[in-house]
Amino acid sequence: MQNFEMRTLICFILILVIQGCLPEPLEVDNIPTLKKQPVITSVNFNETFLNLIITQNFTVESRVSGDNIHSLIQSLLVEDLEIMITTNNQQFLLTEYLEGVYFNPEIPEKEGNIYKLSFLDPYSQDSVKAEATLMEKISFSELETTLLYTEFDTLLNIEFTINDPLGKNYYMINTQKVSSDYYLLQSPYVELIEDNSDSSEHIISSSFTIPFEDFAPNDTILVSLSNIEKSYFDYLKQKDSQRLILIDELSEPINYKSNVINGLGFFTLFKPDIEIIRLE
Amino acid sequence: MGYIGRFLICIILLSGINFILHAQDSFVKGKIIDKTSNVPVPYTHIRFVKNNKGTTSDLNGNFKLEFESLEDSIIISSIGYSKKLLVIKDLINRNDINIYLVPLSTNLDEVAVIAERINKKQFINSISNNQYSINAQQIKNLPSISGESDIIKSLTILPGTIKGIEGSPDLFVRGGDADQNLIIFNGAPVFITGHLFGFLSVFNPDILGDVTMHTGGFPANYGGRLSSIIAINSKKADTSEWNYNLNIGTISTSIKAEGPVIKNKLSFMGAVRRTYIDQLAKVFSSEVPYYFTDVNTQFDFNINKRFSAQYHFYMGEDIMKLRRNRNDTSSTNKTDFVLQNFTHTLSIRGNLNQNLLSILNIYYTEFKYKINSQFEDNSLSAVSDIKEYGIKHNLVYTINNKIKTEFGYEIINHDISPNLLNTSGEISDFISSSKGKSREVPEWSIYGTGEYHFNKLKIDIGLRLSNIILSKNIFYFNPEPRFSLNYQVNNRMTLNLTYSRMVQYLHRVSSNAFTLPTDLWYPVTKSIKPQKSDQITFGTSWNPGSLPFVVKSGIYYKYMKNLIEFEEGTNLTLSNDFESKLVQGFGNSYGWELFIQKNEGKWLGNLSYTLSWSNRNFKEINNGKSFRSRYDRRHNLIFVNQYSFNDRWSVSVLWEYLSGARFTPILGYYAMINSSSTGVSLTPQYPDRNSVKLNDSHRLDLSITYDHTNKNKFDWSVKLNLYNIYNRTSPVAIDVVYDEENKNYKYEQPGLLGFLPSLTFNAKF
Repeated sequence: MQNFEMRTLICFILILVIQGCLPEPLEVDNIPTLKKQPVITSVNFNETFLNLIITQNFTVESRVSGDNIHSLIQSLLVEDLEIMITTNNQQFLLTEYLEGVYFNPEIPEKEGNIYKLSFLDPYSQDSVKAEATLMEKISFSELETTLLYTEFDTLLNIEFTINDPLGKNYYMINTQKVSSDYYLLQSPYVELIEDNSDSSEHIISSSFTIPFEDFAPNDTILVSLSNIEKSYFDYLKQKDSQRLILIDELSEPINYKSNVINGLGFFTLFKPDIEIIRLE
Repeated sequence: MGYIGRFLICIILLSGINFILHAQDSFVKGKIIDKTSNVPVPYTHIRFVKNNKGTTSDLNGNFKLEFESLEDSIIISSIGYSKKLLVIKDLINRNDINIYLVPLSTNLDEVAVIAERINKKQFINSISNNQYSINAQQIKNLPSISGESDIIKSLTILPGTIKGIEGSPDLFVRGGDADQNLIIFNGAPVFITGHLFGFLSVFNPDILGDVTMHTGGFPANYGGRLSSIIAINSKKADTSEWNYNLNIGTISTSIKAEGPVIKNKLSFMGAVRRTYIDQLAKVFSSEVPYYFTDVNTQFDFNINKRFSAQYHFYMGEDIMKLRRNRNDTSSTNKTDFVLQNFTHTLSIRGNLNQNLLSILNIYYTEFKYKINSQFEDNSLSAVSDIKEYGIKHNLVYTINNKIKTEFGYEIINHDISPNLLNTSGEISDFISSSKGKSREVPEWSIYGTGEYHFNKLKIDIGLRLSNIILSKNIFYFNPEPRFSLNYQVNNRMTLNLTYSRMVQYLHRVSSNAFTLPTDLWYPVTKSIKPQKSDQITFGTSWNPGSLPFVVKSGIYYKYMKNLIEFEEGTNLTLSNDFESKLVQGFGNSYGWELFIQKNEGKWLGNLSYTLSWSNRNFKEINNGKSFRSRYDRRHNLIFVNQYSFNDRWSVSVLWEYLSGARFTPILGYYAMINSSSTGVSLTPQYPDRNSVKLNDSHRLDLSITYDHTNKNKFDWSVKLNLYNIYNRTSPVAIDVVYDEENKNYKYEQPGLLGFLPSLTFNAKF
């Protein structure tokens, strides 16, 4: 008991001393003004293949905690834009706008086509442009999931085979849990795959284990395979390289890749092959 | 490891100078003695400034010289020693004047306006346009962070030397980067100079002698870094009697013993230092999972009157053992972190004949860190190791009192094993096991320099040829010309113009934001070119004579190419892929330096001011636009005052004003739908690189020393040290925090160290 009291006293004194020694942080009054810019992000829906959400960037002071992020996004949506899509010498306006998503069901969906986007930046009146190719849909030839039981966790291992078409190709496999009411939980685990164009083999067989996430028998998971453009692959790689960054504010500055001229974000088109699996 | 076996040697000497000048009629007589060994120095050149006539001392260091004018001065020079300028008028008023020549750690001549009447308590005892010498024992009375003197941090008092983050050992000299400083301890490079994550120097102040720093006009016998050469030497062990020193500080305690093993022939010095807070915590059943320790041992051997040898061994360790629960003795949840530094140095010096001094240095140096971490079924072990074996032979040949040459060679073998990684469990998906890219690369250089005196003009022309061999047919060969012109306007003033090219083959791989002890050192490769710099300086040193001041002022311009940075967003955490992420660019820096020293009387002062600019340009960074370097601090003003009330009480005050460093804070964010369209992630947005300046900072430190010296051969002193008295923040970064009061996020600039009081007790017996 005496020891405990002594320890408490010493800890208390130490905390006081350390607190007393820490100088007060200074205020910051020379941060450059953030230039408002439109942010383009593509969304995949079953019904339409080309869907865009346009938001604006925001200052550090406007940041909110994770729970309020969706209300923040709602407040950042940029509405009333005239977004033009040009493909095969045809032009289409994204006339439909539903819950922040711009789309037009009339736009022809054709693999290999280039889709050019343009609209006027409402802040600077600059022309915002981007282009993306709708990549060929590639499906899993084989897909197998296995639960790995370790001393502390139950991990998910995924084995897959892809028929890799000719040429240089880039793939993204997303894996995430699905709740009982088919609501997708959290962000996916993203595995990025680059084929070996020098190889005469046109089959990719590999596997990966999802780290630091516990799975259990009877969990439902969604696994999707997408054939993506190199530029989007590079962007995802860049994002992936920052996985171990714990404090953004103190990390190496990075300007993320973007294929948008006079704007931010990424315009990309792909058709995922989706498998829903119940784990055994 | 077998490396000790590599230390085989032979020859050489040293001696010293004791100097007794005696005025009698129109003659000056004297005897020259080595300050550190008290051995007479033969063949010393003594010449008048006005007519350049002179003489040399005899084998016993004695000389006699007839003078014509009391206003004239004599210059005393001997190879391997600092030059001295003495005014005859000042000398003849004394019956028995002892003037000691200080052995030059660099063995290179310098042009320094230095007064013989300088107070021995002045810690900066030699000043020139590009070179400073510091007495490491005298800095003990200066204020410091923990009360324990830190030789590396004390260098920031010098003009042109800018500090990095408060408390870190990084120096940024004349717009250079932190890895561009060659820090050599008794001739061996030291890669990591800080214990306790840099807050305390690895160099135990009790064993240090002199420290010389070159910031420009580099002598040809030095190379390997672009911005500075910092030569730290241990003092010579006492040859006459045994004495002991106990130093109890707030953070650590050290014990030193030195004395003759064979009187006047072989002497020994040994010192051990250790933190004790971990042991103290145990008394109260608490745990501090960290400690550091270092050991220094040294043997000094007077081979004969002309030759001496010194062997020094240093070993330092920082150990941290983290356990999730201190009662948890299992091995499943733990992290062990060990940093180790070793140096072995052997130096043999002596006069081969009347005109030829030889200094041979052989060394081995190693730095390594080990991380061993286990969490449940994940394990990670990382080992990084850099070793260097080197030999350097320097010869100084004095042809006559007007011409001197210096030449030699240096061979280094760099043996580097960065990031040997072994991972298992889920963590291996993030950090894969790797054998690293171990490399062994030899580097050699030869150099020569000639020094010519023409009346008031002194010219040094030097050339260093350096070469690093990557493989049989791949190597880098670089000529490095050096030039220095000194003009003595009068007895009180010199002008100095220098040019030097430096080449750097070894780089420290560290992030833009913060440097860590685990940063890797990596040599050039086929794709990573050596860094190069060209620097021009012009300056003047002035001693008013009637006033006890020395004033130094100078300007410099430095152009640097093949500088190294990382691609934006590179994550260096235990990465072995850093080579592909390195990018190279160029930079420049320029500035004006002013240094004023008061070196007489009870009040001693040093005022140092630097006005500087430092820029960088990399094609791959900041969209190819030029940007300021991280530590481009415009103004740097430091004022150090020492006042001795009497033999016992003295006080030192340091005030510093520093422009803020540069930073790249997060400017804003944008939201992106994730790749499966099921959520949103925030992406940070940054402004131009280093475009935001942190706040300027200023700080006042004070130390009060009571020195109790008595005749019982037990001397002790107590120092009260008050760091950052008015608790001013020195910002290190711009952080984003949640403001509970206003319910929003905001920027703030945190500092690391506020008001820190400490007490140090020192006893000598």
